[in-house]
Amino acid sequence: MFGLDIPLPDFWIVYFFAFWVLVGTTTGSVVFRHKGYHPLLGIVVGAGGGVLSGVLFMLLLVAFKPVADLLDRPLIGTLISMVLSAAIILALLAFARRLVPESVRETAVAVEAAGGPRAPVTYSARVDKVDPTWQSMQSIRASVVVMLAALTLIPVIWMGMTAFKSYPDAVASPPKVAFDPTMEGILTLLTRRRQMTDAQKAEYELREDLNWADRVMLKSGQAIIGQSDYVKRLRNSLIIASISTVLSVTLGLLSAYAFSRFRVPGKGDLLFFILSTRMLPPVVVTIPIFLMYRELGWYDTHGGLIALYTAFNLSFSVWLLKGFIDEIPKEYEEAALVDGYTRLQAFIRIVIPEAVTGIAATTVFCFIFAWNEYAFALMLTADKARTAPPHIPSMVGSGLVEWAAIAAGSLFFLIPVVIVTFALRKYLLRGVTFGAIRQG
Amino acid sequence: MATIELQKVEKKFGDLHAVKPIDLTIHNGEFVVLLGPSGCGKTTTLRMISGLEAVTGGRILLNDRDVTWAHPSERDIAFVFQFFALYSHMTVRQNIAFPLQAQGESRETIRQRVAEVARLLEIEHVLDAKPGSLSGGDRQRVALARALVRRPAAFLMDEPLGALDAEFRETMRAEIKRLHIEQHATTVYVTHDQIEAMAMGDRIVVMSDAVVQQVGTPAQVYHDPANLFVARFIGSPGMNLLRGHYAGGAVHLRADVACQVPGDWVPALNGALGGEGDVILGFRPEAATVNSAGLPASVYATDLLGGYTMLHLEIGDHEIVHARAGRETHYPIGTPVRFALDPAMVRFFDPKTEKAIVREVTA
Amino acid sequence: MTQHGRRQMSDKTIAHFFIWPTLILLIVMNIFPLFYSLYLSFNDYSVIANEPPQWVALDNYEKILTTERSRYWHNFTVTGRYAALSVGLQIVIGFGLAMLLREKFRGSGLITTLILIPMMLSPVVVGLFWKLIFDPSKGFFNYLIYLNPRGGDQWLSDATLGLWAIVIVDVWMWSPFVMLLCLSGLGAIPNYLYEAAAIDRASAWFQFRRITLPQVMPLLLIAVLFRTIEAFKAFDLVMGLTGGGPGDRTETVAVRLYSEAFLKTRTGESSALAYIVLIIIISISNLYIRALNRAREG
Repeated sequence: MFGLDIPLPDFWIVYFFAFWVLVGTTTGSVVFRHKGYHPLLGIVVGAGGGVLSGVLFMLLLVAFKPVADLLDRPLIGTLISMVLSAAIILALLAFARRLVPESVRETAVAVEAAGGPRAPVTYSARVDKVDPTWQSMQSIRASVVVMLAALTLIPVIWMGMTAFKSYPDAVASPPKVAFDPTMEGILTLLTRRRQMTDAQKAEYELREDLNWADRVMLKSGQAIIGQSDYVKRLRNSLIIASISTVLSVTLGLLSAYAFSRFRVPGKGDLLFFILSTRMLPPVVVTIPIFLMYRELGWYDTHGGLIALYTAFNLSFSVWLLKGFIDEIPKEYEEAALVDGYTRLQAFIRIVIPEAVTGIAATTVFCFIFAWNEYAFALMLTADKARTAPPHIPSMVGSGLVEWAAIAAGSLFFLIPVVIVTFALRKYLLRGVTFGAIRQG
Repeated sequence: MATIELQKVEKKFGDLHAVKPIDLTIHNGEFVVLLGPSGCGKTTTLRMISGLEAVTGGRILLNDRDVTWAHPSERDIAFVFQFFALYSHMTVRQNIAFPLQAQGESRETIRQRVAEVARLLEIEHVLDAKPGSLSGGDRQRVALARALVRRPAAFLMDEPLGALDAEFRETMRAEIKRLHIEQHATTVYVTHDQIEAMAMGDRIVVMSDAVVQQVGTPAQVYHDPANLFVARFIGSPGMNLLRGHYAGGAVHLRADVACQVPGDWVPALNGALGGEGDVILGFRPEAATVNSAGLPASVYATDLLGGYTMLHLEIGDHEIVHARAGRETHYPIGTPVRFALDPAMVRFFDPKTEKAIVREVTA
Repeated sequence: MTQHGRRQMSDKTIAHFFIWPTLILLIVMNIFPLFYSLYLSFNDYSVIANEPPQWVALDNYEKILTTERSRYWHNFTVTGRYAALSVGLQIVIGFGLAMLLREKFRGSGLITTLILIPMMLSPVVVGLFWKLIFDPSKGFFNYLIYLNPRGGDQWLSDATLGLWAIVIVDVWMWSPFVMLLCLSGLGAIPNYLYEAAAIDRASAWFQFRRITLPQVMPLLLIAVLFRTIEAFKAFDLVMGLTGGGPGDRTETVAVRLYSEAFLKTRTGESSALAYIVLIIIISISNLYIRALNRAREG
């Protein structure tokens, strides 16, 4: 489409330049503000300083290379020379800060003379934290975090990119970062196709009922003849995850309420028992379950997986929901009971509406677990009820390794999870620790 | 030992003043209490003195040294926090030794100084316990010990008794006072409890709405409040304040009720109001005594408060005056009574400026 | 009986009515199977053979626990090394990230959430995708780390690098979890402790050692226990990445269990192995739940 064909550039050069420019702009604005200038000037000067720092960093790395090579391990040697170079540049930057002349238009001379900042402090901060050195350290720290986050996301972004690569681009060596985006991978994933001979292709091209998908696949000489298995798997995933989530949240809500509000004999032990079922490795539980399902005829049925996922999520939902219900003051229901409502009415009309955020968070966590689950599905389904997670790796084995299609499959699969991560960010910690620890 | 001087110290949060420019000198060995309702800026002021909060403007001098921008640790002060700030994973001994260890004192000095303050505060028996197992009072003693062990030039205390039960509060109040008298260390103490302030302070700084309302000894603040806020805030209940019209040496309180102004006030009132004008008459409950010839009122309610009876008297429409009466007096509700004011204890305020009208001090 | 006894259920009835469905489901789906596999573990049995189970008493256990007769010990070593390496790195990296993210700055909330994304992904999909990343010619990993750029290391088919590859992916996925735990621990440290330390002239290192570390320790313990349990369960990620290869170099206990039970259909023997794994995991989870309860109270 754009005729782009760039191999992977030297990633780290780009990466470290980005880092130093980030450091330069953020600390530049801090330093210039303290000296009484407009922060924008600091950003401009800082960006220039950042580029210089980047160049210097590369030069220092080259200079340190012989030192790093003295060590047997290239990785550790490189790391050491990186740290040394960074330290030298930071020291230079700290020195350069003093060279910035004081702005003359400032009037608060008395404050400054005593060692205070030029701009009045109109926020809550400790004395040592309004110091430009401390604030510069802060912005360097923030820059490091931003770059680490970028590094973390590379695999995910790479997958998103691969999903839109053509087959040759996806397996190009060296890997490509710029390429012609195409829908080929996604279509390969969703459809079944027939390879055509040249003659067939010519004939096919003349047909008038071709949609855009047909035309995309036509480029590689394939005709779409139907839906792929993946669509079926995705549908299975959706059905099984949804139903089991609804069931486990419903049952979990009832038990959580009972555990939270009533005197249940042996409550502690029961709760421990419930949580310990969650700790069991799926592989361990599956052997007898497999035998049981074979006897009952539940092997490779939607019902079988739903029952299993419900049971596995139940322990989780009981614990998480109990935490949320515990937070609702008992007095709310007691007031309703005094007003003549029954326990059940109080539960439905007071507890459930009050716990609705908790219920929503639990629902999403249960759904994600069922959606991501691989081991049970692999061992207890074959075709009819097979979900997407065990299907995606099996695509590797089927002749051609269609990485673009696999990436597209993974991408479809991950998009809901990423959305959910953002929606649930306040409850993530609670979720992964069964409600024991709240996010500060 | 230290003198603390605040020069035009102010703090803004955004455009909002948390503390408006304040000038204050705290003398060597003095016990100064910052008193005010919550949100008045008293804690912010204390934190600015300690360096835990950076000032927006002004200077802070410690023994004539400018410490406005000095790190908290360079100010030679100790800070006692409301929630004690004890390290729960360390024993009491380790907690007390912490500031000395941080300064790198020798092991022998640390042992000796810890033993010294433990004896002083009588917490030797809990030295090896963890703070979690101590009572509130003992925790506060440990927190004080940690402040004392450093032998700082000044102590800053941020509502140190706020987290204690009522029973401990009285004891600890006396202990801190005694400690201050023994050590004679400059102390700045923040509280919202006026009884605490009256009992402990050499001087009280009353703050409200980010502004210092009055600085004075407990007696001054109580008897000669600088303005209506201080008059209402100090004492429980606060000063009785009655609106009236001053003319011809008497304050006319609505209807036909008039109150004669004591002779030594007349020139001051004439001067302040230009002979005639609206005025607010103020007097403490103990300045009013029930008699047969004073101002007419009717009994609205009576509370027997142990040692004395607090009378709530209604004069005019719904204006309530509090008066103190003997323990054994009892009036049925609605009884018409008369009360007189002790001429030495009446005060006057200008309703427009809300400030007290000051009389010439004549010997 | 309450006053309205006839028309409304007593609390006790409701409690039964609410709790039993959960318990029944858990017993049917978890407890019954466990007893069944306990029985199977004392038998010689294969699901595909049409023969009834043969009672062999402790023979299956003996086979697994004595090194002469099996290579199971190897699987435990692999799991142990994998657990130690990945949990150790996760603690260091996660704690480091938490310290960096501790003071808020503009956009720090967004950055935190972005870093958390890997944790929520499906392990098998992650494993599969990293397979492409590790590919010596088509993947970018070798380009990134400069080890032998063109031609590159065979990460997944190398005997020692294979395990490291799994560790790297596991660290990538789960360091955010440790970070999240540490952030909550750091956030719970009352600020006045640091203020007191600042007044007491404590150095940054002193503050870290005497305030930060002790206060975050309970949460680090939780992180270690949780990740250790997960390491023993490691299956999805390994299957997606290496499938246990090359040979059996990265075959964790869970993967071995799967292949014994479902590929080689040695049902009896694999049940015995499952029980051994179960006992290990139950004992660690016991510690874990206790640590959780302590954190909840404290």
